[in-house]
Amino acid sequence: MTPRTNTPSAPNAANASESGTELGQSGCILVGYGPEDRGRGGLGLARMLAQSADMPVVVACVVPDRWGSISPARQADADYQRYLRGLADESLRTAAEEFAEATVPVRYEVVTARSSPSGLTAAGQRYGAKILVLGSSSDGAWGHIALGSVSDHLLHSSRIPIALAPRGQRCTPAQRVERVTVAVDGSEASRAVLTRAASVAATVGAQLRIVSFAVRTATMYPSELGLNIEDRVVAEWRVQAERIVREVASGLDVMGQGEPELHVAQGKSWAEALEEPGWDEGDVLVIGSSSTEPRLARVFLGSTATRITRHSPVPVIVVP
Amino acid sequence: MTTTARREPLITRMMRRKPLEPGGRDTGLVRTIGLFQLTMFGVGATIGTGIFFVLTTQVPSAGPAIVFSFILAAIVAGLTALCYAELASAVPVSGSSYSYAYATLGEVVAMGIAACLLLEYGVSSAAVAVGWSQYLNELLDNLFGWQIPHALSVAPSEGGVINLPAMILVFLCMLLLIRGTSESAAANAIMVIIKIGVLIMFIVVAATGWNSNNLADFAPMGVHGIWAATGGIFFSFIGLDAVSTAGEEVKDPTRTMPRAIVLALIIVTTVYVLVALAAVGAQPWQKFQHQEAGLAQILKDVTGSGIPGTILAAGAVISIFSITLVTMYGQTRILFTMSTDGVIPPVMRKINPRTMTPVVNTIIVAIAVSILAGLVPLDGLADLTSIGTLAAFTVVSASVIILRRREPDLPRAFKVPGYPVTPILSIAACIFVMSGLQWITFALFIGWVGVVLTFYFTYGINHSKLEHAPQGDEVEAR
Repeated sequence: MTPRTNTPSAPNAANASESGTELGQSGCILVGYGPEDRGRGGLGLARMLAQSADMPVVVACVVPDRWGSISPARQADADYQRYLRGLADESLRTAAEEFAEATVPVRYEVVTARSSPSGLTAAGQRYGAKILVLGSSSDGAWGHIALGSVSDHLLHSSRIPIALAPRGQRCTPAQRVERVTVAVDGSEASRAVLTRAASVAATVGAQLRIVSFAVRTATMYPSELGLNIEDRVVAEWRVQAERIVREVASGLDVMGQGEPELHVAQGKSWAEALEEPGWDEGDVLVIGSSSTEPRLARVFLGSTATRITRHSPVPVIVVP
Repeated sequence: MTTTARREPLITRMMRRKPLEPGGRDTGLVRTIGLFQLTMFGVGATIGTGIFFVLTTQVPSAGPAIVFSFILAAIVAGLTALCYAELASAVPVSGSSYSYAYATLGEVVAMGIAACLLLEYGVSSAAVAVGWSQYLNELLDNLFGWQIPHALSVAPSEGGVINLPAMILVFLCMLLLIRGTSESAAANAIMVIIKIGVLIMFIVVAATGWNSNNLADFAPMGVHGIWAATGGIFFSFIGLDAVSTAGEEVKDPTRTMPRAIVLALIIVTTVYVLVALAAVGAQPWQKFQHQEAGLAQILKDVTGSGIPGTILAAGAVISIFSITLVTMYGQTRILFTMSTDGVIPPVMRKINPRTMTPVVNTIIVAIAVSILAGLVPLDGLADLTSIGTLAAFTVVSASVIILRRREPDLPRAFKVPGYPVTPILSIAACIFVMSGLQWITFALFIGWVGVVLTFYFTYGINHSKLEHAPQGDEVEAR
């Protein structure tokens, strides 16, 4: 892949005074933004995260480079590449409008790579990105996160956290992250997720809230045991979840952000349970990646991470 | 067992009752179920549990007079369902007769009932799965001319090695239960239609092969045969008590409940009697023995064509699958409830965070059920299920009387009509039907209850939540 430095046509390019290596030292927030306005929601989220953490932003637009430089189709391909680059420059200009009032430095970059995920991964490594921000696919419902092919691929491969913005979510330019909610399920990975979430909260200077979700499944019909037998299952899970949440939270006293809020959110479906804790502007939800789950379990059971992501009304940060 | 000074006398501990949850009656559920829906609920839970294969096992002992066995079993089922309904409405806990017994009769009785319920649910799951494998084989044979080899599709005592299809069915159900799949009211309605549909088809088609000569030797074993078959047939009426457990959501339960029980019973009994009549009219009673996928076979013989038999087998394969799922579900949730009471180990109440279902519990149940399904023949399983259910119902009927005497003022949304005759008749009928079963069934049953009670006295009594509960709770409940 051919890395390309600053895009001269981007109006805010002056903001990005630092070189790539300098950005790498301080860490930055990388946001992927595609031509034809793909992933615009990610721009607002990146701005919110960057301003809260006081980190620079790199906006990357990936254009495909499928043939390589020694292909016989090189000449025709070069014309096509030029066209694509034009599209990318155009989209970065649009992105620049979004960052017009940003209080952090912003850098714009066209990345040529074989695929969008690989281009974003490489850019992330080059700049030492702390987090990769992506928007929702345009297939999803408004106000919810829909994974596209790029975000889906990166969720299963990325080594840095990925922040996903719900489709069509807008936030005011001055919005900061007020509260970081972390979803734990009591599995082995919970502790690691909680630690990552606590560090995210510390970085953005937000409060930490720990939530466990209890979803009451439907009772078998006819159940022969009364129609509310599943209430007992969910009640027992609440007991277990509360114990787990308390247990993992107790190992967290060194973070110094005060006592985290603990909560078990209950609902008859994932959608209902996700609505239950109450959300405000400036909320983000941190979950563990489904890549920690065994593949067979994912195929058979569906991933909890996927379900939470699908139903979350607020931006989701997936930590590996 | 060592009894520390702190502990109460053994008898007190055995007879302690689970305190009723305060405000347990108000479950916040809207009463939405009407007569029609409740009747369908009962029909759905009952039909199919046995009718697809009970003729094969019971006609040889009763002959064409099996029809009377069905009517007798129906009467017993009706009486017990009425008693069950009163108990369910008087005890504000949701759940099975185990929960009712725990709240009214004491811990040791509840454990006895639990032993029965393990038969009613666990063993019947296995029985139903074995029946399913017969119809699956029939379906495969009709459709593709190929069957799963005999060695892999029947129990060792019938000349096979293992009943593999039955075990696979149990594991499929396990996967669905782990996933948290549950059958909805709509799915239940579809299953009811499929089951009644194929049974009506059977009645109509088999009636064309009617031959009065088959009924000439109507009761070859006399009254004793009818009596003996009733116990086995009772298996096919299990599930009617499901109506009683829906009480909290039933509109106007005092009127709706008994009507739904009686209506469901009439529908089920009518279908069963007609199926039995059509079957014994279409083929001599001696032919029933060792017939696999009996109903489909009869259709094949009557019409000479594979088509009706194939349709019936397909209907049976679909609906029996759903019955296995529902029954296994019941078993996991009973064990779950027991575990939350502390009388069995906590692993049975551990919920998997991802699926929100008791996964270990479900796997243990599936392993136990699949071993039974793979190795024990159908008639043995059916008889064990029957005796377990009848014993549980005997206790339920007795508790109606006990509770009326001990707590006459307890509000009851539904009261048994004709008290005290109904519960007494119910007890008598249960004992009468049970006594017709084979001695081996009794021996196994008593042995099993002994195992469960031994477990209770070594583990359950010491780990029960009530053992550690503050003294006040229990006193308050009395």
